[in-house]
Amino acid sequence: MRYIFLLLAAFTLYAQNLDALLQQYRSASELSKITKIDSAGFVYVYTRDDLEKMQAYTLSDILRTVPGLNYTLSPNYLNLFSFVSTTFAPPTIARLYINDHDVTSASFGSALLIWGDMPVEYIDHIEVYKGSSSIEFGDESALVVIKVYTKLPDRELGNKLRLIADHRGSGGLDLYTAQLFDNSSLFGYLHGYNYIAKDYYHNGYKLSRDKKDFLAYLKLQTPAYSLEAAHYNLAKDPFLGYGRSAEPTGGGLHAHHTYFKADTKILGTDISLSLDKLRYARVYEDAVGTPTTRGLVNYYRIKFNDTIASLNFKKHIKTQNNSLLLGGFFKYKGYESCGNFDGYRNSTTTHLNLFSLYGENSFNFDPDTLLILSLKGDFYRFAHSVKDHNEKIVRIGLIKNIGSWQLKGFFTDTYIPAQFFSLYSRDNVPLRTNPDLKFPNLQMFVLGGIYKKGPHTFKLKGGTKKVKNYITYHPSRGFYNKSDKIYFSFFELNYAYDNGEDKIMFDIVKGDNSDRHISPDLQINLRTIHTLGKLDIYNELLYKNGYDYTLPTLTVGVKHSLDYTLALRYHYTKDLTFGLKAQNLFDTGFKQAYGSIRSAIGVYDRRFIANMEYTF
Amino acid sequence: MKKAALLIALALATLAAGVEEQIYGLIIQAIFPKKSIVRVWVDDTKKRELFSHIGRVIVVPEAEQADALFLFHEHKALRHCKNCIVFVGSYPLLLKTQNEAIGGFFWQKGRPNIIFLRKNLQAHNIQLPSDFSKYIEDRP
Repeated sequence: MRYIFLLLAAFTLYAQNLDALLQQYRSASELSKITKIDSAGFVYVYTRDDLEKMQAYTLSDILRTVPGLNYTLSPNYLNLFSFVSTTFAPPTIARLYINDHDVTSASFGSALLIWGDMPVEYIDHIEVYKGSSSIEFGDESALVVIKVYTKLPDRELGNKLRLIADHRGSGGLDLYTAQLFDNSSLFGYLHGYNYIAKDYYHNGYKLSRDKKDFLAYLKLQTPAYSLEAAHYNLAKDPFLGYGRSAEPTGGGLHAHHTYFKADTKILGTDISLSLDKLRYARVYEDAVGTPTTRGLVNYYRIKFNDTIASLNFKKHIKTQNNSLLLGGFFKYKGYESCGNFDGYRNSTTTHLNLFSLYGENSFNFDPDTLLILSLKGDFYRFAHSVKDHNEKIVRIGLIKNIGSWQLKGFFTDTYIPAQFFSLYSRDNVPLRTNPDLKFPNLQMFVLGGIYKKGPHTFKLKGGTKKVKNYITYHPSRGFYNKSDKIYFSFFELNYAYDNGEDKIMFDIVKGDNSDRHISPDLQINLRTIHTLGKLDIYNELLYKNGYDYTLPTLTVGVKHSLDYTLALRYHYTKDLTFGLKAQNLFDTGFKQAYGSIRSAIGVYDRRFIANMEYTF
Repeated sequence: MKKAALLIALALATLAAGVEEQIYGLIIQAIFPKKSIVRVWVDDTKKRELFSHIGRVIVVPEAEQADALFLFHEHKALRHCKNCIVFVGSYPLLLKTQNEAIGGFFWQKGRPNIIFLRKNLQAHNIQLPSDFSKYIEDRP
């Protein structure tokens, strides 16, 4: 009898913790545990719980915290990366995938120009891979791969409304619904945001970074296939614009991207079909003038229309000790540009057929040793006079577990494709194109170790990168390949504590390069997540050291930055949550230097944000 | 003595198992506090495996042999088992079986939820431990 009593007591003890078990179950069921590919390199994961407690609203709230990258703004208000110590990285180095769909444009070779500040309310989790070959993702080459995954209807089941407003007058609304039917599910999402930014002034001209965006997304899933459709509309003010002296009098970016995607499985092979239509209209009006190959113009308008049709396929063949991934894709990329430069009008139409085949073999010598060999061939067939390119990617990786340590090493020989608009235009206006450009080649070696014990994780890694045929622009030469090689190195230390409820994340990154040092080369990030009863507390402290932005004719000295963000989230009921967030609280965050104004401007404004989330 | 020791061993095995197993183990313990062995019938192959690891639970091949049915899909089993205790694994299924099911454990609104339905608990004369009162609702 007393044993029965003991048994009941044991169960009663655990019954008291049913809430804790449900929380553990939620953590253990994080979708990132399924989608994350450790063999793809070094990955930074932002779980759903992280996104919620950070009160992340746009992708930049996440990307600004990725160690080793400065997520910054170009003079004409486009989102770009710079690696620690380097200048703006080419837009083509990063690719963004939404549910494995590449939303990169044809003309710019980057998704971040449109999607760089996309809303994340409909996103379940985000993975950022640095130094990747991207073969594992079955798509085009990139050094930084950002993978976002939408929420799953069978987990959401219900509706959610989110309202956001800040002290500058910005306002946003997000609404999604998730429904389950007998044998299918539906997820629909609507987003609208009117962002009012702090205004800056230069020579009496207003530098505005206001923007508006709208996103509609729909996903239908059945056991046999999945269909997705999205439409994203973005309007941005010009910020400094494109003019020689940054004296903007109007203009900006108007862009939209619509895509359809269908996924299915045939004979064990994953098949994905998609169609993308993108349109960018960039207008720059400037008092002094914007440089073109026809001289300075006060009115500069260029429109790009992209059409991309893709067929991707891949198959995993797994045996006890070996995993082989085989795949390929075909993409048709149509490109059309129309310009108007003080009344001079021109247009260009061209296209690219891109074929790709790849294979990756992962062999387990023993349960603790994994060898990865990857090979990919990309075959670019351009229309008109642009030369064909046959490019290859080779990657060798070794992952070895020794006790509580995991050692990882990767060597990658890869390339960065050139932007479409740098290769061909009919009359070389507004920029002088170069159809004979070589694609920059990169060789990277990264070595690291991960130590895990209980809730503690230490990571240590370092790497080098050599870039050949870097593409740059000069008004008289147009686009050309630099003959000098550029060397880059970095060292990174991460510590994470995670006990299931509370988290501490600490990162230090130091970078160096053989070219110009025109961004911070030291980053220290400290982020904490803490739950106190019904209150979630998120602290974010981002330090970047000072730097000199040196151009041939000027030097802009930029002081070190310390960006502190505090987010408080109170669960009023299970379904109603209120949040307050102070971003860049002390207004001492990272500043980007701009040559045209001989000064630096903060990338992230100080903002006080109120937030309400209601599920029903 | 042997039986008690076995029960404790099984209980500890349950506690060491995965979180989902632990949650189902607690639910079964709450529904059947006095039974030393609980026979369950599960209509999903993967979940059947999970239930087979729960201490003092036996997964039976026929619904008619079971003390409780754990349903994850719509199933004819309900027709054959008029007075069975039914627990479901999805919210739409709980809506459809709200006249029969005593409760469900499922994902909804982005989080895992447990709901017990008061009138069906009363119909089966089930008294849940006081810790579970927060999970009891009048309707799904």
